[in-house]
Amino acid sequence: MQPNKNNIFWVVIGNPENRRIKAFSQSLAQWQQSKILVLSYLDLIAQNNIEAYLSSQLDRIVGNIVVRFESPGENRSLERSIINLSGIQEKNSDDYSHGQIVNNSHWFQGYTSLLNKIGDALKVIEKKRGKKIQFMNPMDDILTLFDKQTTNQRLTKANINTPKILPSSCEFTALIENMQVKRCSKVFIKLRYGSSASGVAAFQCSPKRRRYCLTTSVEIEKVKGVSRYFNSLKIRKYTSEPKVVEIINFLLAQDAIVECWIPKATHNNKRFDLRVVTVESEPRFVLVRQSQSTITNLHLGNQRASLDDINLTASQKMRLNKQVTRAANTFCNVTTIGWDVLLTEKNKTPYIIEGNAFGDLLPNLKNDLGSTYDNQIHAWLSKTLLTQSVLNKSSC
Amino acid sequence: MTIYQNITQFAGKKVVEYQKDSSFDPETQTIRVSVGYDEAEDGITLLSLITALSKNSQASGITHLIIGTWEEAFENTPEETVSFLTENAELFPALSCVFFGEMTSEENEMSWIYQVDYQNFLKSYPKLEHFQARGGNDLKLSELKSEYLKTLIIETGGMDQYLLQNIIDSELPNLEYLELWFGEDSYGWNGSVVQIEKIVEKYGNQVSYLGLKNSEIEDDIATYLSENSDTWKSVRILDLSMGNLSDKGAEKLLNCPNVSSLEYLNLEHHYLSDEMMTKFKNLNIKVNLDEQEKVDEYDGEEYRYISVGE
Repeated sequence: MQPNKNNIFWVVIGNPENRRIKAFSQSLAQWQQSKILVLSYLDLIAQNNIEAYLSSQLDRIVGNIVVRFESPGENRSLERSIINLSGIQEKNSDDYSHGQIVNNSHWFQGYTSLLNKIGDALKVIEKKRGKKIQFMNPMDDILTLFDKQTTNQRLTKANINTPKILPSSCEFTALIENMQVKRCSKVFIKLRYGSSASGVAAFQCSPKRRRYCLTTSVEIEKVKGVSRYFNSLKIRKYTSEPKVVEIINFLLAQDAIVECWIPKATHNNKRFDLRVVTVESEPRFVLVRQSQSTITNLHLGNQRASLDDINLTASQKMRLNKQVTRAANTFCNVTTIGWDVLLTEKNKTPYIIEGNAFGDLLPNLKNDLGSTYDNQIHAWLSKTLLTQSVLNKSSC
Repeated sequence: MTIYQNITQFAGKKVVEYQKDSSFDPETQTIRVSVGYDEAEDGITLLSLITALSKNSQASGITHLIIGTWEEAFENTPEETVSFLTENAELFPALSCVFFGEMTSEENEMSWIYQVDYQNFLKSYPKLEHFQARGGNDLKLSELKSEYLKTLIIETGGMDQYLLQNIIDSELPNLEYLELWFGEDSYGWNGSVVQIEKIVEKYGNQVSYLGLKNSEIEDDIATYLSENSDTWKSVRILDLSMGNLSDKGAEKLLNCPNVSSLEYLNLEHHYLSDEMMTKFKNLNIKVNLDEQEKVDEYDGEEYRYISVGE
């Protein structure tokens, strides 16, 4: 008997044209789930009254509503609309050229405000319906995961191996001082919010020897004496002090975080790190990302491999699973997270770099249950079958 | 060809990482001592590991030893460890093959490795047969004299003229294998082709392997070798790989009588034209012509990069 399984109404909020939504819908169909409503972020933003709009959409639904937020990425007009929601008037937000690095704290504020508005509206609707609305990925957790600093703090507090984050520095000299104080001569500079390789730089310095080296995809383009900063597909090394200082000062002004650079393990003449996808706090998928460069990111033309390729011992695998499970448990209300994990060279000790709220788009990965989406849907259907009344999810 | 991986074999023996309280077999294994990132965070130093190793019951049997990365290798030298080994040579009586600074570029780029003068160390281990070091900063081999040393390998992204002078002044009557990575001037190369000539004159009629590699003056080296074939008659394997050799130097090599009687000529990582490569392929010897590089043009200038600078 499966009384509740067919009683779920899946509400997906995202970019309807995006491949993620297609993949998730296809997966739902495979699990005989036909009740799905896709709402567009852009449509929601366009509403004067989000609550009225959402009510009109959800009014007819009788079953249990499960809300899933999808990635707001890969849509430039949505990106602009979100930045506009921050209330910060970018004097030339429309002038940004493709690939130009912009301060994504404005984007983050806009996205925060959007999720909050949706959340408030859903609360009112929930009250009217008298029936709890459930979330595959609660809004506050999504926002935390988009904020590398807060995520790092949460993980550190739970005693999970994660790179140290240095106190924020406003410019180059302060950064060098902080690095000396923390005895950290190699760091990664990353934009605080977001998850792509945009604006990532690896910086190494020896103050004692006055040597600097910055490895980054960031490029400077000078137009009429004004510098603009772009992400290129090529990773470059800068060693001349003025260039290094210029790029670092630019990044620090964009709310960048500075994190200690832990050397990655290598295999087959390539560095690698891992993307581990957890579902219900359990590591289910592992992807090895190999790179010839310090910056290992799927967008930058790197290669993939499987966990079996890197010959970990049983105890090293166990340690990896344990760390990731513990990390995921600090976000126990989130159905799925894509964790970026590195292993150290000598002992293959795992360190959690960050968690990606929308890190489940790995189309070719399958386990016994199927894709990352199949795993999530299966988890929800099992939960629904297990507990007839799913009114209260336990808290972390 | 940045160094992406630790070696797994060293001078004929399989490498095992030394872990406290774990056993090893010095008969068949090279012992590698290094400080992992997480260990350095916990305050473990190379010196503490070497000290522990010296107390291991197997220590006296160790013949092959690799020193990998140490704590904060981009600032610190391995001085304390080298001193410890120097002062406690009786604890490692069998030591014959050593490699200092065997680390990946992810752990620490070659040009960021800071070394020491191995003079006293080498004196404490007079029976050493294989000495190898990676990283040219502050690396010295003062008063290098040995009846036993057969292999000398120095890998740098930029070799200092002082070190070249050490090798010119050295006395190694039984040296068979000499491999030097000269590097480029932005990472410390400040030697001259004249110094390289002196080294060839000294050991060219003695060694069977001569590696004059990773150089930004590879054409000059090739030219010298071609015009002075009487200075390196014992060489069976000539290795000019990893550098910026172009048709200019290669053309000369083609016409050098020594080259046609080599067992092996290694030119991997070069800037030869296709026509020139064909000429080498037609030689009756084994030639490595892998990694044909393209000249990089930037701001109207031509750059021929070597394999490892940074």
